[in-house]
Amino acid sequence: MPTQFVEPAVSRAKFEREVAEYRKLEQEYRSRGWFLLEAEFPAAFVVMVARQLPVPAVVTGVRFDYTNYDFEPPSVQLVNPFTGAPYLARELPIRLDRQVAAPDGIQIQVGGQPVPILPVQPYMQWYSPDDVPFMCLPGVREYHQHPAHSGDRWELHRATGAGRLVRLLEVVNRYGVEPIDNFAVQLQFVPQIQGFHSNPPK
Amino acid sequence: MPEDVVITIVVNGQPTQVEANPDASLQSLIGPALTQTGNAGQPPENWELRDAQGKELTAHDKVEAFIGQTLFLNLKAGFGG
Repeated sequence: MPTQFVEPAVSRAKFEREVAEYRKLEQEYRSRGWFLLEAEFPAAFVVMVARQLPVPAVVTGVRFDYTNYDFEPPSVQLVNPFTGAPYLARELPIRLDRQVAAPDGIQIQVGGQPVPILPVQPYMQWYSPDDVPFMCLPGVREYHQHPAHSGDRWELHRATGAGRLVRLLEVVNRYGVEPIDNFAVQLQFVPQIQGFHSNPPK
Repeated sequence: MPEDVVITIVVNGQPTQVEANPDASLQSLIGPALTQTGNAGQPPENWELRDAQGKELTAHDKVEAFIGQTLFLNLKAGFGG
């Protein structure tokens, strides 16, 4: 848990503005499958549902930590919606995949037609399957604290609204929830033998 | 010439109302919506406009088809990863 070193009233007021604006349009967001379940400074907890499926499915929880906002950006974690525990990389239900441009326009031939290869790069990043992954996106605390992004400081994004609650939920929704178009069901036939089949004697 | 209409645009969660000609492109609302909400840090092309169902709206979409609807303008995710 980070230490609050910004005047708490400032961060709290900015957090409460985020929540109040969300609440004003809560019905709109609910119709998109977003449910704000907890909002107590500095934390907010949203559950996201893939409503486009024949049986709508709870996809993930998203936990925000607005400590020191907006001197620092919020922390964002994908968490188990039932327990609130952060997902480990190997447990992630979604990776926030996005297509990026192919290097040098690499194409393959399919049926005689050139088809560009579009590599996929996830916004969720990790080093080992047992790590808690972080969202590698400007506007997220974990991104700006990562040494690889020391050249892209939060101050460059702070005035753009990059750390705002709804904007970050839009990113999770667009790259994580909207692309889900069906369930992947694996059925495995496992024969079971219980006792013997016999013709009982008379 | 048709009278201007008012469209509600939610910019990163903050609602604002923008006056527009019904024949205008929806993209023309992005600049005023950003100005009215004080979002001057990124140019209009770095934002994306969507309807309530989450469908991305383009330069071909006209204001008149969205009268009475709330639209959502959000900063593109951009680079990362």
